[in-house]
Amino acid sequence: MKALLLAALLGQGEPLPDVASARERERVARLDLEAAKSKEFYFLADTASLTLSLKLGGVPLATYKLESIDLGLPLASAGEALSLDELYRCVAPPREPVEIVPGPPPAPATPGQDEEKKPPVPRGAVLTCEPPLAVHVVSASKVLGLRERLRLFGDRKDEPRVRLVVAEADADRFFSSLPKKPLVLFSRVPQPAPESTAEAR
Amino acid sequence: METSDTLGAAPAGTQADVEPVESTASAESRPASPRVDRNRWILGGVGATLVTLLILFFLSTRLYVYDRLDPIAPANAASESTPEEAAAMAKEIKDLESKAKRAQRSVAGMVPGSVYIVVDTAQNKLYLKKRDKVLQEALCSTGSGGLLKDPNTERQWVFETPRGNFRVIRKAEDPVWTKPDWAFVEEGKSVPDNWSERRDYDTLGDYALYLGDGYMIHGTLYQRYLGRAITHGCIRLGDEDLERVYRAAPLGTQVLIF
Repeated sequence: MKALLLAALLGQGEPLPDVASARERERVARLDLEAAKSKEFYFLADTASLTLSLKLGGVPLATYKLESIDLGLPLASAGEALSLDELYRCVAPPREPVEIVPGPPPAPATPGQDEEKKPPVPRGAVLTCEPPLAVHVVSASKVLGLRERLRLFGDRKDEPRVRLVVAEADADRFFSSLPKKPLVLFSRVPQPAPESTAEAR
Repeated sequence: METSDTLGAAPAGTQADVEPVESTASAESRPASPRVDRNRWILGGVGATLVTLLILFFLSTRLYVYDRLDPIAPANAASESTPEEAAAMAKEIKDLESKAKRAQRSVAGMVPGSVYIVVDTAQNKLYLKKRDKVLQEALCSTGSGGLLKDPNTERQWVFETPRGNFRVIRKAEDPVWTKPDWAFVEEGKSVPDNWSERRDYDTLGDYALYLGDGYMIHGTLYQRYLGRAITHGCIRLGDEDLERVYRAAPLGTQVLIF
Protein backbone atom coordinates (compact mmCIF):
# COMPACT_ATOMS: atom_id res chain seq x y z
CA MET A 1 0.00 0.00 0.00
CA LYS A 2 2.80 2.34 1.04
CA ALA A 3 4.69 1.42 -2.11
CA LEU A 4 1.69 2.15 -4.22
CA LEU A 5 1.21 5.48 -2.53
CA LEU A 6 4.84 6.41 -3.12
CA ALA A 7 4.61 5.35 -6.72
CA ALA A 8 1.51 7.43 -7.14
CA LEU A 9 3.23 10.40 -5.58
CA LEU A 10 6.18 9.98 -7.90
CA GLY A 11 3.95 9.57 -10.86
CA GLN A 12 4.49 6.42 -12.89
CA GLY A 13 6.40 7.02 -16.08
CA GLU A 14 7.87 10.25 -14.74
CA PRO A 15 11.66 10.48 -14.90
CA LEU A 16 13.04 9.09 -11.64
CA PRO A 17 16.20 10.28 -9.97
CA ASP A 18 18.81 7.73 -11.00
CA VAL A 19 19.79 5.09 -8.41
CA ALA A 20 23.23 4.55 -9.90
CA SER A 21 24.01 8.27 -9.66
CA ALA A 22 22.78 8.37 -6.08
CA ARG A 23 24.94 5.37 -5.17
CA GLU A 24 27.96 6.97 -6.79
CA ARG A 25 27.31 10.29 -5.02
CA GLU A 26 27.07 8.51 -1.67
CA ARG A 27 30.23 6.47 -2.36
CA VAL A 28 32.26 9.54 -3.29
CA ALA A 29 31.01 11.53 -0.28
CA ARG A 30 31.76 8.61 2.06
CA LEU A 31 35.29 8.10 0.71
CA ASP A 32 35.91 11.87 0.68
CA LEU A 33 35.13 11.88 4.41
CA GLU A 34 37.31 8.81 5.00
CA ALA A 35 40.19 10.47 3.16
CA ALA A 36 39.66 13.75 5.01
CA LYS A 37 39.86 11.94 8.34
CA SER A 38 43.08 10.18 7.32
CA LYS A 39 45.14 13.40 7.73
CA GLU A 40 46.90 12.58 4.48
CA PHE A 41 46.91 14.44 1.18
CA TYR A 42 44.38 13.12 -1.24
CA PHE A 43 43.35 13.69 -4.83
CA LEU A 44 39.79 13.66 -6.04
CA ALA A 45 39.74 12.96 -9.77
CA ASP A 46 36.39 14.08 -11.12
CA THR A 47 35.41 12.64 -14.47
CA ALA A 48 32.49 15.06 -14.91
CA SER A 49 34.39 18.33 -14.50
CA LEU A 50 37.75 16.82 -15.59
CA THR A 51 39.54 18.23 -12.59
CA LEU A 52 41.95 16.86 -10.05
CA SER A 53 41.51 18.41 -6.60
CA LEU A 54 44.20 18.20 -3.96
CA LYS A 55 42.81 18.18 -0.42
CA LEU A 56 44.08 17.76 3.10
CA GLY A 57 41.85 17.18 6.08
CA GLY A 58 38.85 18.08 3.94
CA VAL A 59 40.33 21.47 3.00
CA PRO A 60 40.61 22.02 -0.76
CA LEU A 61 44.15 23.19 -1.51
CA ALA A 62 44.46 23.24 -5.28
CA THR A 63 42.59 22.22 -8.40
CA TYR A 64 44.27 21.11 -11.61
CA LYS A 65 42.58 20.94 -14.98
CA LEU A 66 42.71 17.59 -16.73
CA GLU A 67 42.55 16.96 -20.44
CA SER A 68 41.40 13.39 -19.99
CA ILE A 69 41.04 10.48 -17.62
CA ASP A 70 41.57 7.12 -19.28
CA LEU A 71 41.32 3.65 -17.88
CA GLY A 72 43.82 1.16 -19.24
CA LEU A 73 43.47 -2.58 -18.94
CA PRO A 74 45.87 -5.26 -20.17
CA LEU A 75 44.80 -6.50 -23.58
CA ALA A 76 44.13 -9.91 -22.07
CA SER A 77 41.53 -8.53 -19.68
CA ALA A 78 40.29 -5.60 -21.72
CA GLY A 79 36.71 -6.79 -21.62
CA GLU A 80 36.53 -6.94 -17.84
CA ALA A 81 34.70 -4.24 -15.94
CA LEU A 82 36.64 -2.22 -13.38
CA SER A 83 34.76 0.04 -11.03
CA LEU A 84 37.63 2.10 -9.53
CA ASP A 85 35.50 2.50 -6.43
CA GLU A 86 38.25 2.19 -3.82
CA LEU A 87 40.26 4.78 -1.96
CA TYR A 88 43.67 4.09 -3.41
CA ARG A 89 46.82 4.52 -1.31
CA CYS A 90 49.55 5.59 -3.67
CA VAL A 91 53.25 6.27 -3.63
CA ALA A 92 54.81 8.86 -5.95
CA PRO A 93 58.34 8.42 -7.29
CA PRO A 94 60.98 10.33 -5.31
CA ARG A 95 62.51 13.42 -6.84
CA GLU A 96 66.23 13.72 -7.12
CA PRO A 97 67.45 16.76 -5.17
CA VAL A 98 70.00 19.11 -6.68
CA GLU A 99 73.24 19.00 -4.73
CA ILE A 100 74.50 22.20 -3.18
CA VAL A 101 78.20 22.87 -3.35
CA PRO A 102 79.42 24.25 -0.01
CA GLY A 103 81.27 27.51 -0.17
CA PRO A 104 81.06 31.20 0.61
CA PRO A 105 77.67 32.80 -0.10
CA PRO A 106 77.29 34.19 -3.63
CA ALA A 107 78.03 37.84 -4.33
CA PRO A 108 75.10 40.28 -4.22
CA ALA A 109 72.75 39.80 -7.12
CA THR A 110 73.46 41.64 -10.33
CA PRO A 111 70.51 42.81 -12.40
CA GLY A 112 70.18 40.68 -15.50
CA GLN A 113 72.37 37.94 -14.07
CA ASP A 114 70.14 37.20 -11.13
CA GLU A 115 68.10 34.56 -12.90
CA GLU A 116 66.33 31.91 -10.92
CA LYS A 117 67.89 28.47 -11.17
CA LYS A 118 64.87 26.24 -10.87
CA PRO A 119 65.42 22.57 -10.24
CA PRO A 120 63.92 20.55 -13.10
CA VAL A 121 60.26 19.71 -12.63
CA PRO A 122 59.20 16.32 -14.01
CA ARG A 123 56.48 16.21 -16.65
CA GLY A 124 55.23 12.77 -15.79
CA ALA A 125 54.97 10.39 -12.86
CA VAL A 126 53.66 6.93 -12.14
CA LEU A 127 51.92 6.50 -8.80
CA THR A 128 51.94 2.92 -7.59
CA CYS A 129 48.79 2.23 -5.63
CA GLU A 130 47.14 -0.29 -3.40
CA PRO A 131 44.70 -1.95 -4.22
CA PRO A 132 46.77 -2.63 -7.33
CA LEU A 133 46.51 0.29 -9.70
CA ALA A 134 49.09 2.38 -11.49
CA VAL A 135 48.17 6.03 -11.95
CA HIS A 136 50.12 7.52 -14.83
CA VAL A 137 50.08 11.29 -14.69
CA VAL A 138 51.49 13.17 -17.65
CA SER A 139 51.37 16.74 -18.79
CA ALA A 140 49.46 17.39 -22.00
CA SER A 141 52.62 18.31 -23.90
CA LYS A 142 54.56 15.30 -22.73
CA VAL A 143 55.59 13.06 -25.57
CA LEU A 144 56.91 9.75 -24.35
CA GLY A 145 60.38 8.94 -25.58
CA LEU A 146 61.45 5.50 -26.68
CA ARG A 147 63.20 4.83 -23.38
CA GLU A 148 60.09 5.71 -21.37
CA ARG A 149 57.90 3.63 -23.63
CA LEU A 150 60.22 0.67 -23.16
CA ARG A 151 60.24 1.23 -19.41
CA LEU A 152 56.44 1.28 -19.33
CA PHE A 153 56.43 -1.82 -21.49
CA GLY A 154 58.52 -3.63 -18.92
CA ASP A 155 56.54 -2.36 -15.93
CA ARG A 156 54.15 -4.50 -13.95
CA LYS A 157 51.67 -5.86 -16.38
CA ASP A 158 48.83 -7.37 -14.45
CA GLU A 159 47.47 -4.22 -12.81
CA PRO A 160 44.99 -1.78 -14.31
CA ARG A 161 46.17 1.71 -15.14
CA VAL A 162 44.59 5.09 -15.05
CA ARG A 163 46.09 7.79 -17.21
CA LEU A 164 45.54 11.37 -16.12
CA VAL A 165 46.58 14.00 -18.63
CA VAL A 166 47.13 17.29 -16.81
CA ALA A 167 46.53 20.46 -18.78
CA GLU A 168 49.83 22.05 -19.74
CA ALA A 169 49.02 25.27 -17.88
CA ASP A 170 48.70 23.38 -14.59
CA ALA A 171 51.42 20.77 -15.10
CA ASP A 172 54.22 22.74 -13.43
CA ARG A 173 52.10 23.43 -10.35
CA PHE A 174 50.92 19.85 -10.16
CA PHE A 175 54.28 18.14 -10.44
CA SER A 176 55.97 20.64 -8.11
CA SER A 177 53.58 19.90 -5.29
CA LEU A 178 52.89 16.23 -5.88
CA PRO A 179 52.75 14.67 -2.39
CA LYS A 180 54.87 11.62 -1.67
CA LYS A 181 52.05 9.36 -0.51
CA PRO A 182 48.71 10.68 -1.67
CA LEU A 183 45.38 8.90 -1.56
CA VAL A 184 43.44 8.90 -4.81
CA LEU A 185 39.70 8.81 -5.22
CA PHE A 186 37.79 8.74 -8.51
CA SER A 187 34.39 10.33 -8.88
CA ARG A 188 32.06 9.33 -11.70
CA VAL A 189 29.12 11.34 -10.46
CA PRO A 190 27.39 12.88 -13.48
CA GLN A 191 27.19 16.63 -13.59
CA PRO A 192 23.75 17.87 -12.62
CA ALA A 193 21.63 18.55 -15.65
CA PRO A 194 21.25 22.27 -16.34
CA GLU A 195 17.94 23.51 -14.99
CA SER A 196 15.32 24.32 -17.53
CA THR A 197 15.04 28.00 -18.24
CA ALA A 198 11.54 27.67 -19.62
CA GLU A 199 9.94 28.95 -16.43
CA ALA A 200 12.26 31.89 -16.19
CA ARG A 201 11.46 33.08 -19.67
CA MET B 1 77.31 -31.21 -82.70
CA GLU B 2 80.60 -30.73 -81.03
CA THR B 3 79.43 -27.62 -79.48
CA SER B 4 76.36 -29.21 -78.04
CA ASP B 5 78.43 -32.08 -76.57
CA THR B 6 80.82 -29.70 -74.95
CA LEU B 7 77.93 -27.84 -73.44
CA GLY B 8 76.35 -30.96 -72.12
CA ALA B 9 79.49 -32.36 -70.38
CA ALA B 10 81.46 -30.93 -67.53
CA PRO B 11 85.15 -30.25 -68.06
CA ALA B 12 87.18 -33.30 -67.20
CA GLY B 13 89.53 -31.56 -64.82
CA THR B 14 86.85 -30.00 -62.62
CA GLN B 15 84.73 -33.08 -62.27
CA ALA B 16 87.22 -34.79 -59.95
CA ASP B 17 87.57 -31.65 -57.85
CA VAL B 18 83.90 -31.22 -57.21
CA GLU B 19 83.03 -34.81 -56.87
CA PRO B 20 82.75 -35.10 -53.08
CA VAL B 21 80.76 -31.89 -53.00
CA GLU B 22 78.63 -33.03 -55.83
CA SER B 23 77.73 -36.16 -53.95
CA THR B 24 76.57 -34.18 -50.91
CA ALA B 25 74.78 -31.68 -53.03
CA SER B 26 73.08 -34.33 -54.95
CA ALA B 27 71.89 -35.86 -51.69
CA GLU B 28 70.46 -32.55 -50.56
CA SER B 29 68.97 -31.71 -53.87
CA ARG B 30 67.39 -35.09 -54.07
CA PRO B 31 63.68 -34.50 -53.97
CA ALA B 32 62.27 -35.39 -50.55
CA SER B 33 59.52 -37.85 -50.38
CA PRO B 34 56.04 -36.26 -50.15
CA ARG B 35 55.59 -37.63 -46.61
CA VAL B 36 58.80 -36.00 -45.26
CA ASP B 37 57.89 -32.77 -46.98
CA ARG B 38 54.45 -32.76 -45.41
CA ASN B 39 55.89 -33.53 -41.96
CA ARG B 40 58.24 -30.61 -42.30
CA TRP B 41 55.37 -28.34 -43.15
CA ILE B 42 53.32 -29.58 -40.22
CA LEU B 43 56.20 -29.17 -37.77
CA GLY B 44 56.94 -25.72 -39.14
CA GLY B 45 53.30 -24.74 -38.87
CA VAL B 46 53.00 -25.99 -35.29
CA GLY B 47 56.19 -24.18 -34.32
CA ALA B 48 55.09 -20.93 -35.93
CA THR B 49 51.69 -21.18 -34.25
CA LEU B 50 53.30 -21.75 -30.85
CA VAL B 51 55.65 -18.82 -31.31
CA THR B 52 52.77 -16.62 -32.45
CA LEU B 53 50.69 -17.67 -29.45
CA LEU B 54 53.58 -16.95 -27.11
CA ILE B 55 54.10 -13.52 -28.64
CA LEU B 56 50.38 -12.78 -28.43
CA PHE B 57 50.28 -13.89 -24.79
CA PHE B 58 53.30 -11.75 -23.98
CA LEU B 59 51.81 -8.74 -25.74
CA SER B 60 48.39 -9.24 -24.19
CA THR B 61 49.90 -8.98 -20.73
CA ARG B 62 51.93 -5.92 -21.60
CA LEU B 63 49.85 -4.00 -24.07
CA TYR B 64 47.07 -1.89 -22.64
CA VAL B 65 43.77 -0.89 -24.12
CA TYR B 66 42.65 2.56 -22.99
CA ASP B 67 39.10 3.76 -22.65
CA ARG B 68 37.90 7.19 -21.65
CA LEU B 69 36.61 7.12 -18.07
CA ASP B 70 33.30 8.93 -18.14
CA PRO B 71 30.74 9.74 -15.49
CA ILE B 72 28.30 6.91 -15.00
CA ALA B 73 25.43 7.00 -17.42
CA PRO B 74 22.18 7.86 -15.65
CA ALA B 75 19.69 5.08 -16.17
CA ASN B 76 16.02 5.72 -15.95
CA ALA B 77 14.15 2.53 -15.21
CA ALA B 78 10.95 4.23 -14.12
CA SER B 79 8.96 3.42 -17.18
CA GLU B 80 9.84 -0.28 -16.94
CA SER B 81 9.50 -0.77 -13.20
CA THR B 82 6.48 -1.82 -11.24
CA PRO B 83 5.08 0.61 -8.68
CA GLU B 84 6.64 -1.48 -5.90
CA GLU B 85 10.05 -1.38 -7.56
CA ALA B 86 9.74 2.32 -8.19
CA ALA B 87 8.87 2.90 -4.56
CA ALA B 88 11.79 0.79 -3.35
CA MET B 89 14.06 2.69 -5.72
CA ALA B 90 12.81 6.02 -4.45
CA LYS B 91 13.41 4.93 -0.86
CA GLU B 92 16.93 3.77 -1.66
CA ILE B 93 17.68 7.03 -3.40
CA LYS B 94 16.38 9.00 -0.45
CA ASP B 95 18.58 7.02 1.96
CA LEU B 96 21.64 7.40 -0.26
CA GLU B 97 21.11 11.14 -0.72
CA SER B 98 20.72 11.54 3.01
CA LYS B 99 23.96 9.63 3.71
CA ALA B 100 25.81 11.59 1.03
CA LYS B 101 24.65 14.94 2.42
CA ARG B 102 25.66 13.91 5.94
CA ALA B 103 29.16 12.96 4.74
CA GLN B 104 29.47 16.16 2.68
CA ARG B 105 28.47 18.24 5.70
CA SER B 106 31.09 16.46 7.82
CA VAL B 107 33.81 17.21 5.24
CA ALA B 108 32.70 20.85 4.96
CA GLY B 109 32.78 21.07 8.76
CA MET B 110 36.46 20.09 8.75
CA VAL B 111 37.46 23.35 7.03
CA PRO B 112 38.72 25.56 9.88
CA GLY B 113 36.18 28.13 10.98
CA SER B 114 38.90 30.38 12.39
CA VAL B 115 41.82 31.94 10.55
CA TYR B 116 44.24 29.46 8.99
CA ILE B 117 47.26 29.62 6.72
CA VAL B 118 47.81 27.77 3.43
CA VAL B 119 51.26 27.68 1.84
CA ASP B 120 51.58 26.70 -1.82
CA THR B 121 55.22 25.65 -2.29
CA ALA B 122 54.81 25.24 -6.05
CA GLN B 123 53.86 28.88 -6.54
CA ASN B 124 55.61 30.25 -3.44
CA LYS B 125 52.45 31.86 -2.17
CA LEU B 126 50.97 32.10 1.28
CA TYR B 127 47.26 32.56 1.90
CA LEU B 128 45.62 33.70 5.09
CA LYS B 129 42.13 32.23 4.99
CA LYS B 130 38.93 31.89 6.94
CA ARG B 131 36.60 29.16 5.67
CA ASP B 132 36.68 29.58 1.88
CA LYS B 133 37.54 33.28 1.99
CA VAL B 134 41.06 34.50 1.27
CA LEU B 135 41.90 37.31 3.71
CA GLN B 136 45.41 37.88 2.44
CA GLU B 137 47.63 36.58 -0.33
CA ALA B 138 51.39 37.05 -0.17
CA LEU B 139 54.48 36.06 -2.08
CA CYS B 140 56.81 33.93 -0.01
CA SER B 141 59.93 31.84 -0.40
CA THR B 142 59.98 28.14 0.40
CA GLY B 143 62.54 25.34 0.46
CA SER B 144 64.88 24.93 -2.51
CA GLY B 145 64.86 21.14 -2.33
CA GLY B 146 68.67 21.23 -2.53
CA LEU B 147 70.87 18.55 -1.02
CA LEU B 148 73.85 19.54 1.13
CA LYS B 149 76.51 17.04 2.12
CA ASP B 150 79.03 17.66 4.85
CA PRO B 151 82.40 16.91 3.22
CA ASN B 152 83.92 16.03 6.62
CA THR B 153 81.21 13.76 7.96
CA GLU B 154 78.49 11.54 6.57
CA ARG B 155 75.76 14.03 7.38
CA GLN B 156 73.48 15.44 4.73
CA TRP B 157 70.47 17.73 4.63
CA VAL B 158 67.66 18.21 2.10
CA PHE B 159 66.26 21.72 2.20
CA GLU B 160 62.58 21.03 1.66
CA THR B 161 59.65 22.77 3.23
CA PRO B 162 57.76 20.00 5.00
CA ARG B 163 54.27 19.33 3.60
CA GLY B 164 51.24 18.61 5.71
CA ASN B 165 49.12 19.99 8.50
CA PHE B 166 50.97 22.05 11.13
CA ARG B 167 50.09 24.51 13.87
CA VAL B 168 51.71 27.70 15.11
CA ILE B 169 53.27 26.45 18.35
CA ARG B 170 55.18 29.63 19.32
CA LYS B 171 55.40 33.25 18.25
CA ALA B 172 58.23 35.68 18.77
CA GLU B 173 59.02 39.32 18.03
CA ASP B 174 62.63 40.17 17.09
CA PRO B 175 63.46 36.48 16.94
CA VAL B 176 67.02 35.30 17.32
CA TRP B 177 68.17 32.49 15.09
CA THR B 178 70.40 29.84 16.56
CA LYS B 179 72.24 28.73 13.47
CA PRO B 180 72.28 24.96 13.00
CA ASP B 181 75.32 23.03 11.75
CA TRP B 182 74.24 23.09 8.11
CA ALA B 183 74.40 26.90 8.05
CA PHE B 184 78.16 26.67 8.61
CA VAL B 185 78.70 23.63 6.41
CA GLU B 186 76.93 25.36 3.52
CA GLU B 187 79.29 28.33 3.77
CA GLY B 188 82.31 26.05 3.91
CA LYS B 189 83.05 27.03 7.50
CA SER B 190 83.79 24.82 10.45
CA VAL B 191 81.00 24.28 12.94
CA PRO B 192 81.77 26.39 16.05
CA ASP B 193 82.05 24.85 19.52
CA ASN B 194 81.02 28.09 21.16
CA TRP B 195 77.24 28.39 21.27
CA SER B 196 77.31 32.20 21.18
CA GLU B 197 78.84 32.08 17.70
CA ARG B 198 75.64 30.50 16.45
CA ARG B 199 73.40 33.36 17.43
CA ASP B 200 72.12 35.54 14.58
CA TYR B 201 70.05 38.64 15.36
CA ASP B 202 69.25 39.86 11.85
CA THR B 203 68.30 37.03 9.53
CA LEU B 204 64.77 36.19 10.73
CA GLY B 205 63.33 39.72 10.45
CA ASP B 206 60.86 41.23 12.92
CA TYR B 207 58.61 38.26 13.66
CA ALA B 208 58.62 34.48 13.63
CA LEU B 209 55.84 31.91 13.85
CA TYR B 210 57.27 28.54 14.88
CA LEU B 211 55.85 25.37 13.33
CA GLY B 212 58.11 22.82 15.07
CA ASP B 213 61.31 20.93 14.18
CA GLY B 214 63.10 24.23 13.53
CA TYR B 215 60.73 25.30 10.74
CA MET B 216 59.09 28.71 10.94
CA ILE B 217 57.45 31.52 9.05
CA HIS B 218 59.76 34.52 9.34
CA GLY B 219 61.07 37.62 7.58
CA THR B 220 64.00 37.95 5.24
CA LEU B 221 66.88 40.18 4.30
CA TYR B 222 66.45 39.06 0.70
CA GLN B 223 63.04 40.43 -0.24
CA ARG B 224 63.93 40.45 -3.93
CA TYR B 225 63.93 36.64 -3.81
CA LEU B 226 60.33 36.40 -2.64
CA GLY B 227 58.36 34.15 -4.94
CA ARG B 228 61.29 31.78 -5.38
CA ALA B 229 62.10 28.44 -3.81
CA ILE B 230 65.43 29.30 -2.22
CA THR B 231 65.16 28.69 1.52
CA HIS B 232 66.42 25.89 3.72
CA GLY B 233 62.85 24.81 4.48
CA CYS B 234 61.45 27.82 6.35
CA ILE B 235 58.83 30.08 4.83
CA ARG B 236 60.03 33.63 4.30
CA LEU B 237 57.68 36.59 3.95
CA GLY B 238 58.11 40.27 3.17
CA ASP B 239 58.03 42.69 6.12
CA GLU B 240 54.47 43.98 5.72
CA ASP B 241 52.93 40.61 4.94
CA LEU B 242 54.77 39.06 7.87
CA GLU B 243 53.43 41.61 10.28
CA ARG B 244 49.84 41.11 9.10
CA VAL B 245 50.11 37.34 9.32
CA TYR B 246 51.76 37.59 12.73
CA ARG B 247 48.95 39.80 14.06
CA ALA B 248 46.15 37.74 12.50
CA ALA B 249 47.33 34.22 13.39
CA PRO B 250 47.12 33.34 17.06
CA LEU B 251 48.89 30.42 18.69
CA GLY B 252 47.40 27.15 17.50
CA THR B 253 46.57 28.48 14.03
CA GLN B 254 46.47 25.67 11.49
CA VAL B 255 49.11 25.88 8.75
CA LEU B 256 48.50 23.68 5.70
CA ILE B 257 51.56 23.34 3.48
CA PHE B 258 51.40 21.60 0.10
